[in-house]
Amino acid sequence: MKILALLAASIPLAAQLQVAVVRDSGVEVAGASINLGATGIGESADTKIRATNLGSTTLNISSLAINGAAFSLAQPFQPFPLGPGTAYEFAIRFAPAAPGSYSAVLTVGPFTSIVRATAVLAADVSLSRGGQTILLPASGLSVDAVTGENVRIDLALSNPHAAALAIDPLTLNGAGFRLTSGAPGVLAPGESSNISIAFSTQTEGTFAATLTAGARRFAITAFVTKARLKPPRIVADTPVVTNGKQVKIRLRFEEAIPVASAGTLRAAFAGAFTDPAIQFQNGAREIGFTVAAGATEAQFGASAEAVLQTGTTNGVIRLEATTEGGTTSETWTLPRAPIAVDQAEARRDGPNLEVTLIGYDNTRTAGSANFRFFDRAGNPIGGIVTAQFAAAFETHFAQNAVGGAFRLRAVFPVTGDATIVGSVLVEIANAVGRTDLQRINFP
Amino acid sequence: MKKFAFLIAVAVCAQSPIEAPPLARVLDQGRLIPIYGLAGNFVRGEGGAALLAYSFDGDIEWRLEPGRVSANGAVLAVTEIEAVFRGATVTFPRTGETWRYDGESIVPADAASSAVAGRLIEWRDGRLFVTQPDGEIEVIDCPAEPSSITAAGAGWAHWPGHLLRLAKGRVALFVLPERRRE
Repeated sequence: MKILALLAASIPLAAQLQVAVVRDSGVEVAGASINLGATGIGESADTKIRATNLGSTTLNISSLAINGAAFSLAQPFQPFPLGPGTAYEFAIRFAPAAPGSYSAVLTVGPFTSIVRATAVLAADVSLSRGGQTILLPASGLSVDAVTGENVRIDLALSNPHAAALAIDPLTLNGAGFRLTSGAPGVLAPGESSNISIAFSTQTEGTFAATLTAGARRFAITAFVTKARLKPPRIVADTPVVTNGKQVKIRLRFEEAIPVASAGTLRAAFAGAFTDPAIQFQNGAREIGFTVAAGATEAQFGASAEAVLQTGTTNGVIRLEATTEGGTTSETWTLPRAPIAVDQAEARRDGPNLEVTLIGYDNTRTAGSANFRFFDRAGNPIGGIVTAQFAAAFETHFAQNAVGGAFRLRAVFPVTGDATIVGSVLVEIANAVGRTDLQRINFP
Repeated sequence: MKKFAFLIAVAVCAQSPIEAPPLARVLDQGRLIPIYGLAGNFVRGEGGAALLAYSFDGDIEWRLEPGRVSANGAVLAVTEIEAVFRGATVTFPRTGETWRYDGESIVPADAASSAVAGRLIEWRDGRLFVTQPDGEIEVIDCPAEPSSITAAGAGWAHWPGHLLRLAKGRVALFVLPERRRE
């Protein structure tokens, strides 16, 4: 123990502190001078420096500075202890305003070094969007994106100087970024060249890239958040929704969806009675949808339409289309209405006449029906025959889960010659009103 | 001689004069399912017999079950597992044999009928052409070609996911909702 302590104490402080330049290409131990290379004027280039305590005792770093025109520390400095085997990183900034050669003295505690750098003419970088060009600051460009989005960045490199300017090399480094168009070359004074950059990722986070165009190094940062699909607009194939229909529904988005997404369309029914006929094509009141990347409409399986049966009961259907980004809704009121008859038939069955009506009563208050028979010449036969069906309707609606739908079969025994009867007029009523059917002919 | 007809008020029936409208019968995943309701507002009934193939046009009910095919109760012993029912005829795709229901029994036939529930139905270029019994042709849009059309009731045809109303002047294609999921 004693021997080790003596050895450690014998190392000079300058040798105990190692200073290195951290570059993309690797770490270089700094000597008497550090060359930062060329930087475009107007640009701000940071270089990372790492100070490591190689000794076995703590070093108190009481001074850290860089003195020289166009140089500065990227962060403010405060004295700190540097423990044995630990390292401290900081950045020096070179931001020249004019071309030329620059130098400065870097001091890190007992360590000093001459820092050299060159400022050269460099291209301006502008953003091209919608036919307009916006000059970008040297600090770089930030873009917001969502996961899966294909971002396209159109830039213009221009030469604002009096001399020709090389934009060679022309490279782009950064995960998720890709240079899709543009070539290295030389820009004459006043000339510009367009380049395109593509960016896409499936991961949330911050993504950085560096565009190198000759002496210009330009930072591009993408802030990526998870894609959240905004709720769509609910579009029905009919402006007025009533009972007894199959309504085709499309879900439309304001703009093309950047990334494949999904959601749910629900139909909630509020009425005095339940109605199992109210359902989507999947047999439920909820159906999932997907949206392909680049699409503006949802898909329900293989179909672009959801089909909803509106049932045969008055009430309110509330449609809700829900995505990660929220919910939109549409409300359809199905008003109480007189009985609707979809099918009416009259036939003879031996000595009897039979009238069949298929329809629905969306109030479930059907009561009586009037029948008036005519001969083949159209003359009335007898008076109006009134039949009371209220109890039968009540039993039917209580026992059969088919909403307000019904089939009514009225049988009339005939005394005499039934063949002279040619047609029948039917009136059927519920609490809302009376429904008069067109004359039904006996075959 | 003058003929008189005296109508008596609605007869008292043993069964209720009001009932759920029986619209069609379809085979779904091997089970016979009654469909109630109205055109476009279908409600499935409870699943019934397990069958290999089925057709009902309002007059003739064909059933193919393991070991037999039947029409309105007339039975023919067969080993087929597929059948195409058209009107009064049945054709077995495996052998190409065609049989006909003559009202009492099932007898060999020379040719198969083309009618589905009394109509000729043809799909061309995204449209269905329905030839009514009186020869009138009605045309409706049907983007996807039907896979296998069968009669499902008087004036109704069925293929998976769809019911086609065939009534004259009212031909219309509807979506038949899937079995309700609990």
